[in-house]
Amino acid sequence: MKSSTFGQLSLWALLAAGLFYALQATLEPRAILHPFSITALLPGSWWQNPTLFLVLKTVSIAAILCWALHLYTPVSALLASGGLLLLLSNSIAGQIYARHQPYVPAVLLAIYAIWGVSRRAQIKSAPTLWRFGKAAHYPKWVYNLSLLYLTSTYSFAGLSKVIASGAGWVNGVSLQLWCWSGSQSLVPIRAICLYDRWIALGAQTLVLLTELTCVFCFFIHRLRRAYGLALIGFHLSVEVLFGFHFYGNIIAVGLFLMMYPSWIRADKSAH
Amino acid sequence: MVLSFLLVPVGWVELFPFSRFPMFSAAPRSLVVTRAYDSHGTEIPLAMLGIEVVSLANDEPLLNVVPQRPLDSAYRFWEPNEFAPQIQTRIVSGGVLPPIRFAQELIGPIDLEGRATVGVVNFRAWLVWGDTVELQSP
Repeated sequence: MKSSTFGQLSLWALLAAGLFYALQATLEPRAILHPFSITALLPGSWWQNPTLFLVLKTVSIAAILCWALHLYTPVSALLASGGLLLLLSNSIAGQIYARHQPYVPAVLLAIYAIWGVSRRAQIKSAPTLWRFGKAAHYPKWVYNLSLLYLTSTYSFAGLSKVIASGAGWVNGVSLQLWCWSGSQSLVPIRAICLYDRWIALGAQTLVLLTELTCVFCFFIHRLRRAYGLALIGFHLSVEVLFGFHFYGNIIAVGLFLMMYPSWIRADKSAH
Repeated sequence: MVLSFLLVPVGWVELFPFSRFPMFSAAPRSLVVTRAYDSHGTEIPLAMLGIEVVSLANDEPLLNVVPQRPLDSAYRFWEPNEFAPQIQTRIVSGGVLPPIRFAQELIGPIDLEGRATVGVVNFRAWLVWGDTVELQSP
């Protein structure tokens, strides 16, 4: 796939994820708050304002749609990215614990918004929506920064586990407990993990090693598809077991780890 | 700006959009599953009673600007003195008619026909009405 086509495809995919999380965002006022987002540090009367939240949500959704159609860029790109960050920040501020599902697509869209601003002339020169993939230039730094951020998030997750629990994180019991307390349906993956501790222990080992070493994918191209498959499998398992919708991560992994080799080799002009 | 997304979590700050992604970083060896039932035996969502189910992974954010985890975490066995007045107040505000029966199951490692798995290793039930809190089983 050509880099410019990849740029267009990845933008639409990330915008779809952003739209999903924007539509899902709710204002959750709580008596007990944890400062899991920047706006939670502001006075509650600011971020807990339902009118402001509705305005943010409307602006974000409208701007995302405009950006997808290449209308009013780069203003729509800035409004979509900034609005989504503020909207999610306000939503997360009211949560009793941080839900990390929208983090990755929100930050990746911020990187894409910088691209939209820095290359606004080229992007505006794209004659029509459908020819955008051929006409617009997709800079390599956008791809590299997105890949670096994506792989780092997984390595941070692995590092957090090691720092919080040490090597004892891999004990098999905790995964079996999570399976027990998660979905009560007898999905095969739950039954397999609960069947014997050695299976759960093996799964935990695989998850921890994959997460810890994920950042190496940024440097070693050949690792990417294997890690991409492992991470998508991991997210699908989490979806089935716990109902956590990491669709944005699945999209990002699919784009930046699974599709990379063909397009970057074919398009030397991206440099 | 992008570098900040990589560097800020190194400083162990957990503020959206910066994160060190601590999901599931705890490795519990047991947990308590709590359920609540009304006077007809119908299960009541814990959230309706204002009882928060706190994630085991990130219940202690680093930047402690505001109060810590709720008193009534559903992930551990309660003690009788924890019920009054927190739980009773929430039962009233939740609009649920007492008595309310709380069932708590301690889940931990068990051996089931030679297989190492997890299951119920202890159980407690509470009956709460008015100012009375009764532990129904040890």
